[in-house]
Amino acid sequence: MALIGVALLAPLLAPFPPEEQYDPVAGRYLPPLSSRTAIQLRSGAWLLAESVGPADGGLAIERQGQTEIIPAADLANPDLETASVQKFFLLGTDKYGRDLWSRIVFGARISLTIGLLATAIALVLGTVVGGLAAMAGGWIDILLMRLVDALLMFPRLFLILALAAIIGPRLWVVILVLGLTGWMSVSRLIRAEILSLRDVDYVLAARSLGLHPVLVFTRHMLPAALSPVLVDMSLRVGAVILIEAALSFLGQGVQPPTPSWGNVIADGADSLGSAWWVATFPGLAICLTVMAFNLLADGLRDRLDPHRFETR
Amino acid sequence: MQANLAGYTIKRLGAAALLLLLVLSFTFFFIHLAPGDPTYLTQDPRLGPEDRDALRRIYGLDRPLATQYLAWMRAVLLEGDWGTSFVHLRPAVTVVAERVPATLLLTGVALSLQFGLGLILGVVAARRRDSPTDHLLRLGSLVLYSLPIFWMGLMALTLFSHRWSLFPAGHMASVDAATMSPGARLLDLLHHLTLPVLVLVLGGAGVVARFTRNSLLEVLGQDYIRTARAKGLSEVRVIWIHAMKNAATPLVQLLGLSLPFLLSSSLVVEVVFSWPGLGRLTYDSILARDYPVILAATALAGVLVIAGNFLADMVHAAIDPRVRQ
Repeated sequence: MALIGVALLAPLLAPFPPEEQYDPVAGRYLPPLSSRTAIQLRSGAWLLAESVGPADGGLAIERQGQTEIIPAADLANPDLETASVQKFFLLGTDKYGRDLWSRIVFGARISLTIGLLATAIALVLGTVVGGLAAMAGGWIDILLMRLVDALLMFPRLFLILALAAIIGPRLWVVILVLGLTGWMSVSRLIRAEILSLRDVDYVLAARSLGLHPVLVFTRHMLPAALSPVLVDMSLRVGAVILIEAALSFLGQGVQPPTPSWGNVIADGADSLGSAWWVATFPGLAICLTVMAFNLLADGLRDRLDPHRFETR
Repeated sequence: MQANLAGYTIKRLGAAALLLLLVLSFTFFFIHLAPGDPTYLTQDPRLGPEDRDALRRIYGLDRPLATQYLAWMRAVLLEGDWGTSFVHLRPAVTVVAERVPATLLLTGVALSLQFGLGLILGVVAARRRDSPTDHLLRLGSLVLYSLPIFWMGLMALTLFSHRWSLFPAGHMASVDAATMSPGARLLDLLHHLTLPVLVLVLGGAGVVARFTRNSLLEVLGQDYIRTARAKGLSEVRVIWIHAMKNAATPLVQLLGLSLPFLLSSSLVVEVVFSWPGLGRLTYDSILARDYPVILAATALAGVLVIAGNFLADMVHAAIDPRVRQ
């Protein structure tokens, strides 16, 4: 199952198509699997035509039911043979004539980056807090854990939205906030693990040798404690992706024109009746990605658990 | 027994109160998290630096943070004063409190159905372990759990509201609700409630089902279950009465943990379905930069979760006597 998870993740990392805007007028809301002939003008803009043929001193194109003649002087590529390129829109286009497939792939890059970074932040914070609580013990432990409990009480989305509203919906804010609101469960896990490891032989040996507690922690206990954390991590990445999508959908996350699955869905939400593909496909993308991470977590869990009871 | 229950209640109340204080304190630190100070009123560029200083003094923002904290806590706890909403021009508390019942209705129904459905499905999956039904349920719950909720809402709207006009497209009541009889109004409410609740339940029921299944399987392997079966008790009694009681503990924990998530999800659902609840209010206030309401709503969301957890603990104590010591 872990293999399925990893296999699903890999294709999402191919960021090849650029995010171009082809002919906002003729290219609006093209259904999936449509293809058009594209001609680039000298000015940089594109025209999308149903068919292209030669004409006096230029090209005759049929566009939106009308025939226009483009003089060769206006073309970016004056060579009439190669001036037109065939463009295939796998998933159709959106309101502005942008290819949906490219936007989704780009959005994948962005969403994954955000997800991984935010989870990394949560991991670091959670490890520090959980480890501190477990190692220090006593009232520090109780205080920290009460803190964690209190923070867990807040519905995350409210917190994130409030912060995004106060500070401003910029990218690094999103990542930071997502990480800052997710570290609690990590700290709980780490704390439980460390507590159980405190009395293990090799730890006691290290401490009796006079090794500084922080070193003991990082060199000896952390590696052993990490396995359940890894499982939680992959679940967490999935959850963060979902939250980031919701955030972008509500307009407080990644801002247009940068594509994030959430804001692409928001763009398409208005035209669901007619151009249903704009909102549908990013949602499926989100679902598949999150499923992949959940499967990864399941696979990790299966592999790590029986392992731990084996004697090496 | 009675004394024990009372003692436990007081203990949980104390814990809840402590959490409440912490939640409110966090909200306070939120306000002061923004770069610069919370002189959000200084959005008006016509205000010069002297005016801003005057404003700061008026609102007491030039006092040391500790003093501000105490003053704020006092205002909030003792006087219930969260400031005045910029948009609605009424006390923030009132604005927020008006919207709570709608959210409670939505989340209450959704939570009950989630756990009810999830429990039943989990039991079914546990009983037919490793059968096709089991695998189907597990796969289904995985898929449902991975779907973005707002997207589910949009899809549901498109299908059931737009394509096949089965359900209304949002809001809590039809425009002519005032002219209906109470019975018809209730039906109308249920009609409007269906789609949002459906969306909320689908995502959560899967998680509950999975959890119940695993928890129940663990319990069913125990000896006393075999004893009960050997005694000739009907399967229904065995599962529902004996096994479930012991599987209840982690379920209650699940309930407590799922409350924040439920509220967050309901925020999104409320926005998609234009449901006039707490979540939608928060969203609108964020767009309008209505800070008093944003803060009051966020804190209230936290309070709701604490209250929910408290109730869950009480139910748990009622079911499982061991907890009360």
